[in-house]
Amino acid sequence: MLNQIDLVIKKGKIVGLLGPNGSGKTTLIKLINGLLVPTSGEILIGGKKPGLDTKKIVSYLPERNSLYNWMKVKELVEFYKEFFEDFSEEKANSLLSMLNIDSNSRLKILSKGTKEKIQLILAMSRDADLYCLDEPIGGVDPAAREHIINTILNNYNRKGSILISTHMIADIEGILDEVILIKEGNILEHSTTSDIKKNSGLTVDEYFRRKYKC
Amino acid sequence: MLKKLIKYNIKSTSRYMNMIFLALLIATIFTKALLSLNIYKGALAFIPQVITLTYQIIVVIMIVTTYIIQAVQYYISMATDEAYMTFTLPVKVNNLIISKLLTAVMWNFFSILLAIICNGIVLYSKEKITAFIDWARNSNIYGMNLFIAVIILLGMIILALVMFNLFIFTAIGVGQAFAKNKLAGSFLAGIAMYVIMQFATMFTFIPAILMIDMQTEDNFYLGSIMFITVCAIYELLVSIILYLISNHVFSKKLNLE
Repeated sequence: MLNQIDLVIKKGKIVGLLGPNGSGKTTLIKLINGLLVPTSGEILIGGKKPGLDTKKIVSYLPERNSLYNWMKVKELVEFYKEFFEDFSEEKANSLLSMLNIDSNSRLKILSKGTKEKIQLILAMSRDADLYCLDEPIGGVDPAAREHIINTILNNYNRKGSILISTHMIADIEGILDEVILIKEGNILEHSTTSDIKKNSGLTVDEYFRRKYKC
Repeated sequence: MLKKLIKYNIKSTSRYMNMIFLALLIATIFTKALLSLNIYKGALAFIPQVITLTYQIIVVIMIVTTYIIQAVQYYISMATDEAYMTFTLPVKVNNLIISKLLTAVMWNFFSILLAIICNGIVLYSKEKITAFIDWARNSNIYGMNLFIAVIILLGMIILALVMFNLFIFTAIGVGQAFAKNKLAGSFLAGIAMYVIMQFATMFTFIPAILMIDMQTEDNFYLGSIMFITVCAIYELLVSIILYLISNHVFSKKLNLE
């Protein structure tokens, strides 16, 4: 449940949506993607309400595996190419080979971690205006996290924005321009990471732990 | 986009449907082979009836399974984790529903057609075929020749399939809007819709039947035409209402918790 949320995500920024489990991070991302309909209030993406037009410019990485399990990896790439005009097949294939993922594999035989990597590759192979990444490193082993973060950083549309929801702050705080702290459906704070560091003398992770008394 | 959606819907369902159709063809060949054996005499004379009955049960199971597969596929892609992908595609909700409806109706129709063809193969004999052709040439069904009657029958089957699939789709759509127990919500919605439709059927058909006097042959023909027309209009109207409800819940009440 979200209450009285009022925020603007500026173009070209990487924004961390931080909060404990059940704080409303995923709900906010689902609202942006039109997977939930708000009971009141308004969400505008590039001046438009979530719908057909915004789906063309928002790239979404859900926290759960939403891929069609009956497909092969290469069929998924083809599927994305057919439906998303801003999708780069070249970029997707190059990222798949970088991560040693066989395009001929059927999704249903792949591990949860590999499926998450494929989802991320597909999401980041779009030239979107807004990337909504819900727990992109949640199910990935620590060794692969750096690689995932680099994949995000090296492949997004620089003119667009990234909204990353996570509670693994230490792993991603280095790439964030801004953070939104959310608790029980309310926004506690929306600041730049440099302001947080300058004003509190703490890292974002330490600041988060203090705020939520972890 | 509709063409692309239909293409992928057919791909996702064809792996099951091809297996079912193949199984039916194998059952048909096997049944035909068993029936053509000339060994059912004396105490074994009842066996052809048992084989035919078993075969008919297999055919019915095949048709029912086709319906179940379409419903399950719709539920998976519109109300479970896969729905996250489905509803972030840059397509209109009505395109999603129409593409799935056309795919489901197509498979259902094929299953009926295949059942008829396979039955034809199993029951085939020169005498029966000759008798059927004679009957077809001379038939006069409610004053129509067989060709027109078959066209009307096919139209009615397609309309019924559209209504049936939209009924399932709408129940799933209403169920997904529930905060919890979405599957139970779909069943509840289905039961409620069924009751409402029973009342609608009663109020539509009882006056229609009472209005039609079928005592004379001329009236019987006219009455039959009127009855078929009322059926078609009823199925069309119900289908439109169900489609509008489906479109509304997935557009305005989507709840992928």
